Amino acid sequence: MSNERFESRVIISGIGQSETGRRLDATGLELTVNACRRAIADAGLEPGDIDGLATWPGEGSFPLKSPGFEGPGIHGVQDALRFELDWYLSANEGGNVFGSLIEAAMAVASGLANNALVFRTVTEARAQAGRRRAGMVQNGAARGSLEWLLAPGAVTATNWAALLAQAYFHHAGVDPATLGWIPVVQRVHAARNPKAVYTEPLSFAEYQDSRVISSPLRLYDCDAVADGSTAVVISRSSHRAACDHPVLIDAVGTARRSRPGWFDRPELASMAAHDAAAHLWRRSALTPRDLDFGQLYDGYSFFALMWLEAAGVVAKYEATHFIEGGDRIKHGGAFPINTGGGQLSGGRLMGFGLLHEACLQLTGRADGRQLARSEVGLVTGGGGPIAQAITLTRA
Amino acid sequence: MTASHPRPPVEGDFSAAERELLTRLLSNAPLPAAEDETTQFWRSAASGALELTRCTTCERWSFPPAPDCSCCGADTLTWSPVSGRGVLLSFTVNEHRWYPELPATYMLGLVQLDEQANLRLLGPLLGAEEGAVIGRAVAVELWARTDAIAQPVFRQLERPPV
Repeated sequence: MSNERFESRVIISGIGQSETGRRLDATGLELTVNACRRAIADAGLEPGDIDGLATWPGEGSFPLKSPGFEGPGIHGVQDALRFELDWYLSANEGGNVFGSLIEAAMAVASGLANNALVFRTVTEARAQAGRRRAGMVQNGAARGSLEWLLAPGAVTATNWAALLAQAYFHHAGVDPATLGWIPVVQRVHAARNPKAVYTEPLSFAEYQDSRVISSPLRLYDCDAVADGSTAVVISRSSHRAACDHPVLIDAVGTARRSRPGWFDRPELASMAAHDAAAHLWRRSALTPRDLDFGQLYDGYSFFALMWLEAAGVVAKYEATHFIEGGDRIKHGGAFPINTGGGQLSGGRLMGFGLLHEACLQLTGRADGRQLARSEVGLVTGGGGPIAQAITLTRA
Repeated sequence: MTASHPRPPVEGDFSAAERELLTRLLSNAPLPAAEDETTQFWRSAASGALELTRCTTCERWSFPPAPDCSCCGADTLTWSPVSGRGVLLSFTVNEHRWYPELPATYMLGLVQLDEQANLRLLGPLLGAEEGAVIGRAVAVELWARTDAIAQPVFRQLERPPV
């Protein structure tokens, strides 16, 4: 079976990223075009070679008003770069976080496209400049799955993640403050990443003194809104010899076997991540012991903690022990995570910053923070009911 | 279903501080759409007795409200009142103002209703000023938001669930 995985028929042929930061003086489309041109050149291609295009969520498609969250859509980007497309997709449901990437890989593997460009752009820092981070507000009443979340006053995913985290720490019998080792370590990593948003040192004591946003989550448990665009090119594997920095996709996991509500898994303190990671390991010939690093989705530090368990890096309720003190998840540790600072310190690039960092590590281009060993990496997207897991390997 | 939906006589059950908090929170949090399958959930709450859909064939409850039974598939769901008792599965103390109109601090509770293991509802949590305790019994109370919509809110009780 493993030889027949669609992943073996494609490669990540190139990556590109715009300038990233807070309140950049550039529009979302400018950032996107910049990232796309860099990714195309990195893949050894010309814009005319791109015949597939995907993103998430796409312009105007997201039901929640969150300024700068969406980025430009595929129509605007196709036009700006005058792509001639055989395939394109921006699917609101299912595309978050790496659904767009996985769909593009399937499109290329199945022959619908030869070179598919996938991008994700945010301008949240610019759009929300000078204001505190806002909650989610729908245009009108809360409906669908959000009816049960927003209406009672849980107006932000921070509340939803906090409820899962509270249940987790209760059942694990661990002080939630342990979570602080994740932001503390990621800040250390960010100091080696010139594109990171926050690079000044953060001590564990500072973490413990930081204000509570939604207990048990504190300020530093929440990712940092940012501006930036990241793009990757998925090409047929036959293109491998013609590009300088290919990365192989070992396998993807996309499962969500549980009910799709945030609080509907029979075991409350778990996430769709557990299903997606199990799916990944069923499809991959590798095991968690083969992983050299993880770029674990950290919209909240708690998500990264849960991914450690979901992916089988550690056993259930052992993640807090694993992260305590920080050494095991640091550069040089047993399992370094979020080696560019992640979203907590690097900036909230909606998973694509983590993907970009994984590709840098796997192609030996993580200047100043290159891991000694980086043959196999895990990249994960999502928290709560959203999850994808991807293993990438050095070509 | 009655033709009119009078506000339930529940305001007296809340202390002045609770009324102030709930007014501020639930006047500013988005209203539920309360349409199609969910209409009766909110309407039943507004008339003073929260109802969920229950199957007359297998007697299991389906939530969120569904077109037919999520457990056995039978087309025999009816709206039935719930006991209004549950257990606290999790909670959070929100301390960030996501928009200026919201209260500075408020608690949210995730509650599993006693009727069935997977009937889970999120709502404001009251009675936990001394600390919310996972596993503690809660009672459902209802806060009128419009004539046709009341929000279930939870009051932590002093004892574990029966």
